[in-house]
This record gives sequence, C-alpha cells and structure tokens, in this order.
Amino acid sequence: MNALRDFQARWRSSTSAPLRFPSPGRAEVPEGDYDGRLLSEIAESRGVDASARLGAYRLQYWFRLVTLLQKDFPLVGHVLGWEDFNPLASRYLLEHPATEVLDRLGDSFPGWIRVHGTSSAAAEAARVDLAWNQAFSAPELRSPSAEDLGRLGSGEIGLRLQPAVRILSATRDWFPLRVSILQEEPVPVGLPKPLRSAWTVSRTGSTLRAEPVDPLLAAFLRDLRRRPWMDALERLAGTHPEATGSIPEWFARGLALGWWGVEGA
Amino acid sequence: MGLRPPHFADAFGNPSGVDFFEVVAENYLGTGPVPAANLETARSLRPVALHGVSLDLLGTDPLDLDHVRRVGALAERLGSPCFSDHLCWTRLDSWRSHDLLPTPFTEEIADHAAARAEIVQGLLSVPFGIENLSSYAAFSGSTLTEWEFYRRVVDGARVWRMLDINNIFVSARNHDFDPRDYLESVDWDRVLYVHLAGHHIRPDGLRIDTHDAPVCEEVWDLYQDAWTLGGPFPTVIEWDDNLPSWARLVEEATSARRHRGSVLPGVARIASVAA
Repeated sequence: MNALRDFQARWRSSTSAPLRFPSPGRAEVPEGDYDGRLLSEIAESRGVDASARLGAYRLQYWFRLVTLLQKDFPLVGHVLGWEDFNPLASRYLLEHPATEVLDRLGDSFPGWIRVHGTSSAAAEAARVDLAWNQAFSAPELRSPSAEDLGRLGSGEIGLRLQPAVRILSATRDWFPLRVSILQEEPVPVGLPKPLRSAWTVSRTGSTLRAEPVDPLLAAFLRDLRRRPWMDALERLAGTHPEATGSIPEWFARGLALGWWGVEGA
Repeated sequence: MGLRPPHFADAFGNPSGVDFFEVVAENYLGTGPVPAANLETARSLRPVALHGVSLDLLGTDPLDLDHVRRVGALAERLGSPCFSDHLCWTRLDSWRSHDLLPTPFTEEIADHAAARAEIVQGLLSVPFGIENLSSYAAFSGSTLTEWEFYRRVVDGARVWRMLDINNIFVSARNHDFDPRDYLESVDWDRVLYVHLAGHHIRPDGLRIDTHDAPVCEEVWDLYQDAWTLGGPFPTVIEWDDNLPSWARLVEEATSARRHRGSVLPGVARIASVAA
C-alpha cells in the first residue's frame, strides 16, 4: 500500500493548501499550485479538468472547517463581520489543523485571536463563544439529592463543580446577543452594552444560561475546579474571611442553577 | 429519515411519516449528556440506524479499532439495526480531511479495503454496510469500474451495501458513465437500505454532493429504476445543509413513497429468477 499512501500524501498537500482572499468575502483556489503528478493521475471528462476537480475538494476542505468555526464563534463573526472572519479563521486553521474531534477545533481560537487579531472585542467574544460551546458539550456529574446533601459532611461523597460550569470575566453583556444570534432573531449592529463582571455559563438539561457573579464567587468557583469543596472553603476563609458569610447564599444559588455535582457513592 | 439536531423538537413531537431514524454516529460518541439524552428520546420513538463518516476504509493509517468498538457499544445500547460508513479515506497521519475522499479503483486497493471492512464487521454485533461514494475526481490508474470496485469490497469482506442513489447519479454525471449500469451490478439481497439526497451543480457542470436541496427529478427516476430492480428496501432521506422544516423533510419521504408507488418492487429481480 505504499503507492496508495504516496497518492494520499500528494492529495493531502494539494487539497489542504490555503485559499486566496483577493478581496473581503471572496475566497479563490489559486491556480497552478497542485502536485503535477497528482494532476496527471486525474482523468478529465465533460470539459472539467483535473485542477477544477481537485479544487472542488480543496474548497470543501476549507469551507467545512471555516463554516464550523463560524457556527461555534457567532459572536466573533458579529464583531468582525464574516468577510474579515473567514480569512482570519483560515489563518488560524493553517496553524491549528483539524483534529479527530471537530468539537475541539476552536479550543485555541480565543488565545490565537488575542495574539494575531486586531480587535480586543473579538478576542473577548471568542472567549465567551468558547465558554458557551464547552458548557454545552461537557460531561455531567450526578446532581445532589436531598439525601446527598445530608451526607455532605460524612466524607462518603464529594461535592464538585459541574464540568459544564464555565467561569470567565468580560467587559460586556454578550450573552443576550449570542442567544439572539442562535435563535436567528434580528440582532443590533455594534457591540453589546458595557458590563464589566465575572460571569458563569452553566447548563441545566439542555438549556444554557449566563449569570454575572461576584468576583469573589468566581474565584471560589475556579478554586472548586481544582480542589474539594471543604478545602476550597478553608482557603476562602483564609484569604477572604469576609466572604464566608456569603457561602450559604452561593450554595443555594448554585443548587438552583445546577452548578453542583456529586462524586462518590 | 436522517435526523439532525435542529429537528429534534419537531421530530420528537411528531415522528409520524417516518419509520426509522438514521443519525451520524460520531456526533454521539462524546461525553456530553445532551446528545445522549436526545438519542435516547429518538430510540424511544423509532429504531435508530447508525451512520459513520470517519472509518477510513480506504486509508493507510491503522484502523481505529477503539472507534469501531465505541460505535459497536453505541449500537448495542440503542438496539440499532445496523451501522454503515463510506468507501473512502479520511485521514493520513495527523491530518484529518473531514471529507470523504476517493482513490483509484484497483483490485489491490479493493482487497485492502475489504480486509479492513472484515475487521470492522468482526468487532460489531450488527450488520455493517458500506456506502458507495460520490466523487469529483476519477483516476487514470483505475483498472475497475466504480461498481466493480464496490462489489469486490463488499463481497470480499462479506458485509452489506448501504446504497446511495444520489451518489451514483452524481458520480455518473461527473465521470460520464451510465448510472443504470451501476444499478444493474448491485446484488440487491445485500442492500441494507438506500440513501436519497439533493446535490448542487456548479457553473462548470461538476456536481457536488451537498445534501442541501430536494432530491432532483433525475435521481427520483433512478430511484424508481432501483426499486424495479431490487425493491423493496428501506429508504433514508439525507438533508444536512440549508435545512428545511421537519415537515418539509417528511414531505420528501412521502415523495419517495409516491415515486415508488407506481412501480412494482423488484420486478426485474423476480423476472430474472423466473427466467
């Protein structure tokens, strides 16, 4: 199968080579940059030559991946406009080619935009988009029952932050805009209103919601991602004793929003 | 019916007019509970056939046996009637095409794919069907027709066909062969079910298998020919982009019933047996 593998290597290099963007919003397959041997192996018929046929695959390769990023990062598209988004996404994909799991294609996009993009709003929008996507696809721990809550101090079970809960800081209220885009409602032009805050994105059933939260609560939740509940409480009491009075309220809020999960029997 | 997430609510609310669902297996192999819950709902309403897009039968990387086992476990959990994937390659080393790619049609490559397909079937407890590809490039190094190649793989692996009528038509137009020659070559007893879908015609005439439009009249005609030759068989409507309403999809399924309604199933096969 060496000959087949060689053929596939020629195909890969030809069809994953980048497109050209001669003007905003217009993608083109550059002419004359295919592997000559591969071209000679492709039969011409019905007046469609080998370059055009390979070009169909090349367009599909890029179209599929860029479209996926469009779907996963609608806020970035809103901020930049698709004409600027598409070349930017293509540059990102050249550095971060598609992996086995397409769900993770955009994991590095926010950090990459922060370094390579020209808009700080787009970088923030990308972080919000990614948090939303991760909240949707994260696994789920069992929600605590009333009996579980009564056994919390026994050491038999551990309370954890649900993997779906994402914590981030943002300077604008992006979330209503994202919901409107997803629901294909008319959206206002421009950026959302400024609202500097820490935020949580969480999931209940298949419904996602975003909430502004106290920065101390956000820090506590981040700590819960790394350590058991009691350890995080101790650390909070040590660093911010004034916040411990808020714990019952935070706990109740988390119960209502499905933040808590149970590990153990 | 090919079931896609935007249609979950409508499909689950009113699945009438649909005999079974087909879902893309890769979308349900993750750990997220939302897709899993939707799949459970689908299963409670209709049988769910699993359809894959990443098996890489024509590939030269080692088969991903863990992927096959996970698909097999999902099929068992759902009680799926079958699993199918494409006669194509999808990856090379770390590169993933996320597309269904062709190779030349030779005996050597067909035997390579058959050996891989036999391994896949050996790991599954449900019938494994191979879907014929639509393609935009054909190769001067081919020594077999597409239908000879396809048959050699299916026969060699002793597996099943998941026959895509639209793919036959798209490839026939792109590579200038008679799609009826293809249909004549099919061993209909080995067909699990067939696919129907819409496609796009580029300005240069190349047909692209986009699944974003209604089934065209020429494909309906070919479907009737297939029914005459090999029916009855289950039929799945695929529609992946520019999704219409669920009700419109059900209309397409109804249209399939209407198109075959005037044709006796398998009359050509019966006639050949009688002769």
